Amino acid sequence: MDFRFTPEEQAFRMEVRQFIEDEIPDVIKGVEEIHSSHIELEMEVVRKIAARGWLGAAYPKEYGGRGENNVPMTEYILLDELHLGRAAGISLTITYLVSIIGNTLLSIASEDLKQRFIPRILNADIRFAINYSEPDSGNDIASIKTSAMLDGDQYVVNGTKRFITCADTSDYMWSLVRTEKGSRRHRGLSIMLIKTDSPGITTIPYKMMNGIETCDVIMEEVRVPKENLVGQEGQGWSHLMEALSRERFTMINFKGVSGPFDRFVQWVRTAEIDGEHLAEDPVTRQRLARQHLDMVGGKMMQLIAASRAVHNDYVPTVEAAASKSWRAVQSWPKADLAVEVMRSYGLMTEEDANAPIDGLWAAEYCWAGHEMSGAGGLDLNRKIIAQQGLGLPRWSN
Amino acid sequence: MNLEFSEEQKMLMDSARGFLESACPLDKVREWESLPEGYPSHMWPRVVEMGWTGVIYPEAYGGLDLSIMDATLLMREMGRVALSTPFLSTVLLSGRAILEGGSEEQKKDVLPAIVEGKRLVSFGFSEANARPNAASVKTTARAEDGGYVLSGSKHFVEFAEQADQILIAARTSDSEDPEQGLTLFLVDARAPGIHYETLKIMALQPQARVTLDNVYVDSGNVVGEVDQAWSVLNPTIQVATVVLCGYMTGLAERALDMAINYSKERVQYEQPIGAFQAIQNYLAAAWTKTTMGEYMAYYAAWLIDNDISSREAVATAKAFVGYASVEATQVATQLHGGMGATADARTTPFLKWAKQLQHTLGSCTYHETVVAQEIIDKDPLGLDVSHSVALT
Repeated sequence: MDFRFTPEEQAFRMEVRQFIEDEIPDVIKGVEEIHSSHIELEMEVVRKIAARGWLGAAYPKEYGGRGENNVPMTEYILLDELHLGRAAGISLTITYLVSIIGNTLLSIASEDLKQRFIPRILNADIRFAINYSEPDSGNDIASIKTSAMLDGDQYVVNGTKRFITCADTSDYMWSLVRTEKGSRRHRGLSIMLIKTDSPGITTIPYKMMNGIETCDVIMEEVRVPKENLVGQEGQGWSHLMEALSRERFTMINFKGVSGPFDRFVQWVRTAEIDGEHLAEDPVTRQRLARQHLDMVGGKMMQLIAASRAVHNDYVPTVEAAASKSWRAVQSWPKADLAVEVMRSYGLMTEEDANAPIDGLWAAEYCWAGHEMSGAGGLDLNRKIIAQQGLGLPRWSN
Repeated sequence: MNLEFSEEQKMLMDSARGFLESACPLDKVREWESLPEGYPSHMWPRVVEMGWTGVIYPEAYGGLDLSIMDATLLMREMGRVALSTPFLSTVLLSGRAILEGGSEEQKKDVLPAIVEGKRLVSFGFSEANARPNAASVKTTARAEDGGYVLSGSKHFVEFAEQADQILIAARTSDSEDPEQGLTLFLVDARAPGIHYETLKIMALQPQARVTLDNVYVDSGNVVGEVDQAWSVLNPTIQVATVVLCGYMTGLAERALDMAINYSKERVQYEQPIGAFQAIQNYLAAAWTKTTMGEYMAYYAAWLIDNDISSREAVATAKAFVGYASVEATQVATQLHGGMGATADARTTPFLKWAKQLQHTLGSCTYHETVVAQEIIDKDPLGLDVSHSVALT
């Protein structure tokens, strides 16, 4: 066991850190998710990252990659540093592009799709939205109704999707649809790439409690070329499982939770309220220490997942689900604690110039609501741990 | 960054698990609770045969000279079968303190004897306030007749009445700084003036309160430098705390294994209870915390093995594992339903041990006060950002 980065890993880490300092504008730091108002700025940064070759390290040279080994650690370090550098939005964009869609294309798509999309992914001149959930299909994604029926050499798509972040700012939607008429549950599903500006698509953006935007997507008689089918028709469920395990491993970084908490502890060290030094209060000290334990636990589970992926050629689905569920479990308690310690000042938002710590904790409190549901949220991830990790039986329906 | 076990570590764990599973089946472990000595004394020679009593001592004293990480892995296996032994007091605390601070003569006298199972040395440190810090030591040692006279009392001393010797921490001089003025004495357990009062507690091992009523100790039995014992005790206690986290992890893992298996077999409402989401939630949450705690212990052990500052990591690990192992054993008991609450329940020793060890070498609350000092009173974020340790 070695908890140190190797000299090569550490050198890469320092290089990424320097890049973040030099190249990422302050206005997009601290943005937890992609903000539509900063899309262009973000994509400019992602293209600079692409230009350094960091996006394609694992990809074969024929698609514009570098064909290197030991890449999970490179990818891990890149995303981890972006989270630490408060550039989670950039990290998320890269995750969508490279980790989820690019990797899944590489694994299952036709040669034609690989040639068309992977070079563009590695150059960061394309954007995707992930198009799975529907108004009546949240965690139970096998119940989706959106249909895509083959008509000549095109699919005709009808249905409504919900919580499709970036649908209004992307080129393509990576979509889960039902290609077999009358099929139920996991059967008859397929994955396809739907061009966002196709006739018949209406995107309706709305705001979440934490300020980020997401969309409903209404698809009426949308025609999609047959070549945009990803993998096998009818095999959408197994393709989806592969894409989801990549998502949970890479998208969910615990530093997004522990980073704000570490900054809060730093603030407490010198903070005063009406002449009282917060750092001297025994109850505050005890509660901060207890929260610190849980932050270390979350970071540790993320390291366990990364190490097992790197050293065992293994997709750490269960460990990633544990990290993600812990992120959800800790989200409100850490915000509750910070607001409690800051008293009413903790409720002041970033719009108030006098808000301590730039109103971070009012924002974190609202962000926590999203943590409970994003990427399967708490309940689905616990189901993954229990059933895939501990071998407990499936729920009966 | 690599959190995988080495091949040697896998072999160490496999051989330990194979031996312990056959030597300590659960029904035996339950029977041993009613032995008059309060622990399975016949198991100690078998532990000796395995070579584990020398796990962290140099080869020169008959030891295996393995790392703190390896010792933690070994203790995890002992925790998995809830084996009660004097390992903590004799090997990890007293023997280790003698290794850290003793003269060559003392080391040669004591360490091979411990390794060979010929001697038990209890650890007379803890006192009335039951905390593992220097300030809790109030026992005094006054110089007299070329030796010292010890007076005071030691609480919750494990295997005190069974031991041949007791290593006593006492105050030889007063100081503003409680970490100054402590001295260690290696005392014959039957020396005149030592009295034992057996404690009746929930623990599944013998413990006693030791009263020192003007016990005379020759100055040749001072271990380390006079007044400077904290520099020996502190690293010794840190190491033992981490290794103990391994045992606590083993307890939690085994209890969860039992709960998981039971949940797959036990049918209610016409299905295995493990198919209910409520049950799955309990087990998923407990597994998550137990696994985090396991690696937090490895992390602290790794820091010690690599001479990297570890005070925060040790306290964080002990507090976290303290909560995690207690919660896991409580969940395991709960999921066994009414049977889990019976006197003969197989989960009971795990439940009791986890609660006891949560309070051994400092409670969660105690370790949180240490964590608070480390994260609030020290440098911002308590870390150097160019550090290559992955967890920071």
